[in-house]
Amino acid sequence: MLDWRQVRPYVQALAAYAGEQPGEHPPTLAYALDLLHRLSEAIPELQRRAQEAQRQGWRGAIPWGEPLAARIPLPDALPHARVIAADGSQIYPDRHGPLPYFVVNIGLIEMRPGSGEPPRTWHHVLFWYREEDLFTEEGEMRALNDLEAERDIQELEQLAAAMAARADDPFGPPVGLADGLLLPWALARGEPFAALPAERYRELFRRTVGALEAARGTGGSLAGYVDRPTGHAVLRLLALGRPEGPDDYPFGRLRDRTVFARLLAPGERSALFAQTWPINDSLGQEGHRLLFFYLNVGTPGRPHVARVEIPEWVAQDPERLRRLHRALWDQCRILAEAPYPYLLTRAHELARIRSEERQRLEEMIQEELLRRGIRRLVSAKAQQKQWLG
Amino acid sequence: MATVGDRRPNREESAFVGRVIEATARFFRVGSRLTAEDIPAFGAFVQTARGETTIIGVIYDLVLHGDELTRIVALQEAPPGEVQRDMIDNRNIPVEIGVLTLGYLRERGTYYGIPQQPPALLEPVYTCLPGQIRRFTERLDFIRTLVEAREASDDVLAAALREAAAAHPAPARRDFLIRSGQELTRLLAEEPIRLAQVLRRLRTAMEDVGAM
Repeated sequence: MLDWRQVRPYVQALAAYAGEQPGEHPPTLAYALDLLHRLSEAIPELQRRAQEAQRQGWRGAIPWGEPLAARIPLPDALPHARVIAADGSQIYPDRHGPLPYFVVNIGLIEMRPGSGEPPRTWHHVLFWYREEDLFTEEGEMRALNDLEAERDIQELEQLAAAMAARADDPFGPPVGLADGLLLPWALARGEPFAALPAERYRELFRRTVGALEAARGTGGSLAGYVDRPTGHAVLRLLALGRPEGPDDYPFGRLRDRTVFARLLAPGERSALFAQTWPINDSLGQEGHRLLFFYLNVGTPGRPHVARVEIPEWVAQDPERLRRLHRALWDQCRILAEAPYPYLLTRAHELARIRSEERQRLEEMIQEELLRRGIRRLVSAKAQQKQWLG
Repeated sequence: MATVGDRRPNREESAFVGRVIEATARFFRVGSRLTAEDIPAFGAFVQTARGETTIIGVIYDLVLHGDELTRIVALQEAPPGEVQRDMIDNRNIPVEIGVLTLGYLRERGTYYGIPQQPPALLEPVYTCLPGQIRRFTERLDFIRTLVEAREASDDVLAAALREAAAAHPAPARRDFLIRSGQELTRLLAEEPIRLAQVLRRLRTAMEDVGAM
């Protein structure tokens, strides 16, 4: 329980602090927009500068070829489409429980807009309980980031498998949507920061490439959808493009999304940019370099900008990109009050493991142990927590 | 102290309905999230527990709660057909189920009426298996509770009798429903109009379970 007497002054201070922050349109916004337009066509020069700076450790966005200030209009409605979305959640092993186990629950949903048919939903469950799955060779329980990476890669693999199962569908190539980054976060951070054994990192990379290969082979589109993105990779590129270079970064806490909310009309997407994550070069060698664009899924006067992450083979095929762009817009229109792809909302709902479900799973395990005459006790700490509720 | 597992017979086949969220001596309410396919029917027999006592009841009320997603979709002028079907067919929506307590089982005995204590809060609730329903409805004392309950309509009464009849082997269904009709005639002797309506519903129930 919280001691509200202690918490209340912090709440008041937090609200006061929020009031002092610059609004959604800080003074630097006009400067950023001006630079975006001035540098819009300077693609080769910006690419050269970015690649050079990258070698010195610079991180930002690299233009992929479209003018920086491009506003790509919403494509025409799709006569047929099949959209598949996946999301995952997990139960982490509890070392205080009667037996440790790790569960990943991937929720998948597939819809054929315009068919009038109910979407198909299904689950993929991973259930680890063996020592070799849950513990390292040193006898330590696997770290949370390692388990999270397993959830992320399972999500991508299942989505790619679902797309592959629909590769020759008369409704056309599938559009696959994942929530958030396409890559496991541990991979995106790069090997030195992933805090994973080198062998595990390589395994995740191989599995990622395998899933991306499978998705590419369907002829469809694949994307990671990031709502309310907090990145400033394009702003860092703009700073780099100034005559004075990247030093003395001028944009403070301005975010890319604020710039593109001002630039893009509803339905429009931005130019494509490449990520400068270290892993992206390795992915590029396999033909899966990750790119992104911003998309305004809001309404006139109420922009709502998302970042969409795609492998380069989606960008290289105008038809794949067009289908993805339109499908995302249509999905977001379904929940227009809070624009977000409907199928990702539902995939999240399918994946989520509720507290009552966790409780029921615990009961099932205890029943099964009792039936087999196995008595495993929870730790004293867990027992006390159960008593306290 | 007994555990959930050893209180519940035939747990492999009984379907989980939800957990008790409110309980009185005569009825209890169950909260759950269920898809359309898993929502139990009016008149279905369910079981829960209080200590060593298994409490048997019948579903008399079902409330489907729209959540925030339902409301956002409903705000659309014309939600896509696929989304409407998804909302109806696929989603685990919050469901509140009202259960009228009919009796209880303790130490191999079947008792009709209210148990000494209502079920414990958060106690799991499961459907009854046909064998359990047959044993519980061998004597027709449970019908009085249904007839006298203000919460349950006569539609629930008929549905419960249909469910109980369906739990019997086909040759015994007709006999069970005829005996039920006789019991109703005795209980509702002072209410001829209501009796006629209930018997009409019972006749429909006989047709439904192939007892005509």
